[in-house]
Amino acid sequence: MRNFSLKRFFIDNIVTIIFLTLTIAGILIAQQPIHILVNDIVRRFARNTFLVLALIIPVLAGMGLNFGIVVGAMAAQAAVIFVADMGWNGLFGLSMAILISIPISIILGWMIGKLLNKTRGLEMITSLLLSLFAQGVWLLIYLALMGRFIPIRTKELLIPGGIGIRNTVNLGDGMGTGIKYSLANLSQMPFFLAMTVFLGILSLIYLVRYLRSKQIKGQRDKWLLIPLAVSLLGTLIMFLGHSTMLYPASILRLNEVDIPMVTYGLIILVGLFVNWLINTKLGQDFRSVGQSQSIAAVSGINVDRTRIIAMITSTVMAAMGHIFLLENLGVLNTYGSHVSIGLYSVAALLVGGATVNRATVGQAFLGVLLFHTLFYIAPFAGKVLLNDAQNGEYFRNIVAYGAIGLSLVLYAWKQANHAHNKAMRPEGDDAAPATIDLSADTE
Amino acid sequence: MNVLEMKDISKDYFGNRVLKNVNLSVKPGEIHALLGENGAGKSTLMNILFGMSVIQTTGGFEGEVSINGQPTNIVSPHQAMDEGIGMVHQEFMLIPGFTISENVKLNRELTKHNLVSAVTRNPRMETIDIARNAKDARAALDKLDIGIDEYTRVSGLPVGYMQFVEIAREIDKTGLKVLVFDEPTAVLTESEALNLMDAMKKLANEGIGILFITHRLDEVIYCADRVTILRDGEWVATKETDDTNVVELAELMVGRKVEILPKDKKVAEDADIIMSISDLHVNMPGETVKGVDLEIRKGEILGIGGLAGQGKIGIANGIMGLYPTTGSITYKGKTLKLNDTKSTLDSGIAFVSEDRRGIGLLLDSSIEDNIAITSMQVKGQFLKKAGPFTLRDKEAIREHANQMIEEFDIRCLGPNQFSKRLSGGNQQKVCLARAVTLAPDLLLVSEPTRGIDIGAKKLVLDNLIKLNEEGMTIIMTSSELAELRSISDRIVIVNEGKVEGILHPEDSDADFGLMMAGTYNKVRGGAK
Amino acid sequence: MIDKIKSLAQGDNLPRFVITVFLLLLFVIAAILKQPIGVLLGDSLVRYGMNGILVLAMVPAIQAGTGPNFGLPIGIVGGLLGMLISMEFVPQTMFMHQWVGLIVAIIGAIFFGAVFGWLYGQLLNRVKGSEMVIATYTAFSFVALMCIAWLVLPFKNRAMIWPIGKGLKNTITMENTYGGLLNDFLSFKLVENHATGSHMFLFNKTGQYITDTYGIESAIKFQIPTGMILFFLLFCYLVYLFINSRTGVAMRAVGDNPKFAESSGINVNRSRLLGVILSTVLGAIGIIIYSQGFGYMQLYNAPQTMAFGAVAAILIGGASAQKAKISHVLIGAFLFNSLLVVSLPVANELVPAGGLSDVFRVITTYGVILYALAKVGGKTNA
Repeated sequence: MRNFSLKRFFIDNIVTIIFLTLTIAGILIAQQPIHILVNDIVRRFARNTFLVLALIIPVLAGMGLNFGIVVGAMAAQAAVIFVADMGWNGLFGLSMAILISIPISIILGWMIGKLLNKTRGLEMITSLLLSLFAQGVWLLIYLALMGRFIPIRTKELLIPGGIGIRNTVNLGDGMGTGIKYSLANLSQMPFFLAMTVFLGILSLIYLVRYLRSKQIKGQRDKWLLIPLAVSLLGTLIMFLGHSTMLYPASILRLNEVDIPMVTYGLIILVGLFVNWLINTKLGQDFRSVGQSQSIAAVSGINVDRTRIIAMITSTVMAAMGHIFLLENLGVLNTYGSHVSIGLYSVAALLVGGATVNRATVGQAFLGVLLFHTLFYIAPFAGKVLLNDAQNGEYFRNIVAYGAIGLSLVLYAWKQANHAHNKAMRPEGDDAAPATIDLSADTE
Repeated sequence: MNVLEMKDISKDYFGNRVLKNVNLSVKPGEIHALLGENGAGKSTLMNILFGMSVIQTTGGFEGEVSINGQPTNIVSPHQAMDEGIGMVHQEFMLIPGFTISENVKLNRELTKHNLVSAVTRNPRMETIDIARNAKDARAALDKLDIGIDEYTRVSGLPVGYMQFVEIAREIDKTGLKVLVFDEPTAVLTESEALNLMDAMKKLANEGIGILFITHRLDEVIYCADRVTILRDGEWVATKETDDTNVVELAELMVGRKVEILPKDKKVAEDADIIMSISDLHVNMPGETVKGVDLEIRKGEILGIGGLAGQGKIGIANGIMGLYPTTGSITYKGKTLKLNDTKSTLDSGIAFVSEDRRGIGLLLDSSIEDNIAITSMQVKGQFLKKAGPFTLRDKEAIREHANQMIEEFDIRCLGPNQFSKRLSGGNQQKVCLARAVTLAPDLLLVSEPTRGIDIGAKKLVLDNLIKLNEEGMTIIMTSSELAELRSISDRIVIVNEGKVEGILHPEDSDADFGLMMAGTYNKVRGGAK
Repeated sequence: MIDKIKSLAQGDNLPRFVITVFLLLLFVIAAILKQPIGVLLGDSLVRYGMNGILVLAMVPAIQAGTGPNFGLPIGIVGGLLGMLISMEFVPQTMFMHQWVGLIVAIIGAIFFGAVFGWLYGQLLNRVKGSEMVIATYTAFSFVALMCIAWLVLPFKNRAMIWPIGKGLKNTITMENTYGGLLNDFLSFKLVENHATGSHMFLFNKTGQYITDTYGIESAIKFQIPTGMILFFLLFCYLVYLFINSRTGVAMRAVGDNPKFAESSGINVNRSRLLGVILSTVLGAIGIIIYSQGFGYMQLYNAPQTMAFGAVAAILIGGASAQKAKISHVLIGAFLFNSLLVVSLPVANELVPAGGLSDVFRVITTYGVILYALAKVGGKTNA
């Protein structure tokens, strides 16, 4: 049924392939000890994945890559600053931050949705500019109003002089004060054990999907056997690492890496949530609207409302994701933490193989892994290659902007070519549908 | 009892009467054909049936619609659906990235409860039941004898199958009473069309009333039980298909009084050929030309007629190189370079587009700029030297525009008024003025009177005759047969992208009707 | 009459109306707060001249139908290259080295602007319909890429490179080259007698201000940057000539209605390409004028967001994403830059917190662009 073409596969996944190559090359060049590399990636993955997952719904709803998650992150920053001001600690503080961020991000998401309904067709540039605009409003509130018109109880939060929040807000010592590590500290497992657990769960998921595929399509989807086999093999490898001393010492040092189980469990849950949501009626409506607004409207779907709901979902998820990022980071950069969120999250998703109109949870996971590995390794590789770590810093920017620029260009290019090809086709099928499907056999 | 009855339906748009006391009834299990030229009022009638907002926002309609004998006031497409009226659209309402099953169940997906939906009682939170949806889609496809896998994506399907997916969606809706097919065979091959009509018969056998909108007369005879003919918004006749034939239908569809404007000179049958076209293929979406051979005589007005979508519009666009074109065109003894608008313009051919607002005008520019710009680009007119620079010559443009405004009687506030503020008729005059400014030997005019009022219509046609008398050869493409017959020397009828035949304005209504329906050669046996 | 006033505050003109009213209000407040109005005006003129050509660069892009040129940083990088080359090769011992330096820089800018613009225009012709977002990210990527280039390009002039390490400096002073050359050309000074009790703002010729809180009773001189303004007006005139030429008329037709243009025998892609190249070249020249007025060239990430200010300025002048005229540039650049200049001391006076001037800039810039986008995308296809 699926005809596999290597060329087609290569073209469709060009961004991922480029980044996979770069990442592998980077790792080889940088020569970092593997347990240090993994330790860093484990942290970065924990921090960033939630935010990247927040991007999936707007993509499916046809609103492109939502740079507006920066606004969601602002809701999170506001909530976290409030919690810090109240002096709430630990899990209680974290829960309160989430609770407070939800209504704020719902309102903001609704507003963004409204705006994007007015700028149909220009969603991406709009959400990008909106994030920049929001930064202005943020500066106004936190720099000029806090402490003057908006009372702040904890004076340490304020800039000396009493107006405006300090550049950095400390979120605790990770030992109980503040919200730092309140989740991460709950349960930690050494690397091999944790990976055995996760890959075991993954195998289970694929097994269930394989068994259920018969129920849905009448015959078992044998393509699911590949990931099932891979994850089972992975489980075995990890289990051997955990229980025996078969591997070289440098690899066994991986066990020094602690995995925050609750955080990772949460990420898996959010991934499952997104997949569940896609399969609900609402999710189907997102996809219908995303594929063709006019046909969805004719079929009786309230297009504008569905788009607004997609935006609210994304903004709320972004707010939560950013709270967990701050929890893991332990420091809040009042005027900067949220700014780069949009850029890095969007870049990560695209590196995972998503496009402007297609994104999956798997792509989000893969993208975060590749992007942040490269992100971490770039300065080291730069140092080796050019004897200058500064290059690595700039290289990070190239990586992020380049990933987005390349994906956007490739997408627009394909679309233009498709339209062109259709116009150039010698004769006939005039009435072929106007919407374009670029993903015909890539799933 | 009739499953659908539309009685004494009248409708006007802003005082312009488009339907006058039209009657239409469909019995259960009947295939009822609705026949008429473009602009006969078929789509308005369907808009009324489906409660489209364009009807509501323009003051509703007069008359009565009954479903199963119950007078019903349908005010939205959704309500029409609830009343059991479905439509298979001419342009497919299918989402290409979705599977057949997803398309069939679009926004009517079957769902099952999950934890969240059970708690929130929000139906949008329920999980899509993929297996049951697929089963429904399968059942609908089976009813149509379509063996294709319901999990196939629509994007990969041939056009013929897409039609069936649309039908499957309609018959999957519970309580379907009337199904409207809006020119379903227009995009199909002959065998696909036969398949479709067989499916229609099958559906009719199950008791569904079918309204079949078409131009193709032989299809009416092949599958319809009765046929209603509309012309100029009026009901003309309703007949049992057994009691009629294609010639009569053609006559009923076209027949009307034609006033032929007096022309001073007749173009001799043996006049010089100014342009000859052979094997012209133009890939203009919706108006594909599939191999046209044609000779245009110097000094004549050649009319090109035919039904919408048959390709008549494509010919002039192809000559102008606006859409990918193959074949060969000889103009004044020289081969015309295809797909090169500039060289066509350079060789002395001008074009007035059928899409006045989309292609014909710069809406946000002044009348004078609109008139001058093409000549400026093509012939380098209206330019002046200013030191080392060559600039547009405002005075010359103004002077010329004023002259044109007088000549074509363009009603405006002055040459610097924006063209978008003009009425349709005056916009058309601006387009004409722009083309004439090029001083062409051959003028292509497409749909010159579309959407303009009667007074302006006459002015435009008079202008064309005047230009023709001054020696300009004109190819006029129009959907209005009467207008073609009133000023042309010869009329080419295009059907399915090819020339069906060439007629003279005095030829009979039946001949015109048969040619437009593409049945002339079958009925009259061979070309003229 | 009332209709006329209404039309001044509607649609594309709304931002202009709002900003004008707001600006007048700021001037009134500034007067009440006893700010030196003359100095503020003079400073507005300096910024006007500095930014004018960058704003002007939007005109060909919008007229050719590619939308506001969010890819302006590409041109800016071209201009920076021109300036660096001029600085590297024009010795300061040369006769009239300042003018020679400026001219060499401009020639370099035109060359690099044309080359980059051609490549960038080719790209935009292949992604019709999503020009704005792609332009933005192409520019961002290009600026990021150039960051590496600034580090590795083999420039030798000691004034430009880090004394230790390698690569070009972040900001390079133009004091010894043609910095302020055009500002000072034919310039004249006005003197405003000004006595205030508390705060006082002094401005140097580069547009930066020095706060003098001791309240010296003094006469403040301010300068009218005649040369720079003339240079800006000259370029406006050149662009005006171009858009009234045969090619320019064709380009505008393409921007208005590409299908119309095609049916008039105009090569659509070539016109768009021309518009983009012109815009990029103007961006390149614009940054030279900007830098000489500012006194420094700024490398690395500095060009990244420069397009947004220029876009906002022309929109404030009454342009939209599809329509732009020279008058929009003249009005918009003045309103926007005056706003930034006047809001600074007023904001500092009202809310003494650091960095607040940036707030004004950010909110106005992006607010205006968002407003314009909401007007373009208003067409619902559902």
